[in-house]
Amino acid sequence: MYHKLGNRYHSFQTAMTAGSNAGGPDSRSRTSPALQVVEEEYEQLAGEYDERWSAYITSSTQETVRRLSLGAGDRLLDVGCGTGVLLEQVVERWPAVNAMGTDLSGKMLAVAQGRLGGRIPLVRADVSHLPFDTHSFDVAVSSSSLHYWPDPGRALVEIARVLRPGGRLVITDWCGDYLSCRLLDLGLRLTGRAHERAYRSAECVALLEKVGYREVSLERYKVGWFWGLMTVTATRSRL
Amino acid sequence: MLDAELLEILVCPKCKGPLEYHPEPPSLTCASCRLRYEIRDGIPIMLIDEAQPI
Repeated sequence: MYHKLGNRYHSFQTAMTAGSNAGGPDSRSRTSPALQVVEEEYEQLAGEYDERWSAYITSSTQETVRRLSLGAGDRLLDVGCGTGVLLEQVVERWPAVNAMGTDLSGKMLAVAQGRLGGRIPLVRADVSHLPFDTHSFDVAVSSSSLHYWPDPGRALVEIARVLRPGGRLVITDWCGDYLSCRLLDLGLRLTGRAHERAYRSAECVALLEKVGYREVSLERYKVGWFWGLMTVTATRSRL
Repeated sequence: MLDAELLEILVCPKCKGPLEYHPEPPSLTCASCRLRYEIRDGIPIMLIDEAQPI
């Protein structure tokens, strides 16, 4: 994907063994234009995304799925499902779960549809304006998507709206506690287009608590030599 | 045809109100926002900016 982002990125990227979705932004444009940039970038990335980022995607989605606890008949939403790698792992491990996925990019969803063979409903949607009825899901999950959200507070409130009272949220993303991810974040913010920002673990916990999530707990860990990730789990208020 | 369970929970992303499903051409409409959301290759495009006025 990186050749799409320009040569200044390429050397930076190839220094890493595995990638992430990335882009880079004019993070000063906050609303629709920012989303449009994310969308355009992923339209370009979709075809080669899995191949180029396979080690990172496999590890980060496995770490996320490992922290999920699902029961038969649970309804799960994957926010920013990309090419459907996490959803595929979910249905393999829990065949009786009703999983659905959303992404902003139609081309990423087309790849996901091919991977999942129509087993899982997919919807093109913006995390800040989810097209689902209130209290529709038991679990919401999101892997490597948070750093694109232009307004994470609004997105987290919107996810809480579609979760049932007491429903669970599991988010994995780059963790700004790690120097490597802080430098990547800075690089992307200075030069890139679609990336919004990576958060430190304390900021991530504070974001969730501020909008009313309970039982927020966070683990951070390394994947390979470069990536410092965090997975945060939280419960939607029962009110 | 859209997944029945998905159809049950889909709402308008703008007003969160109910949608009406139209099989041909595949789309979902919101009567109160007067917007049509296209369904392309079985994937509903539920983006407010991409909806067509009706």
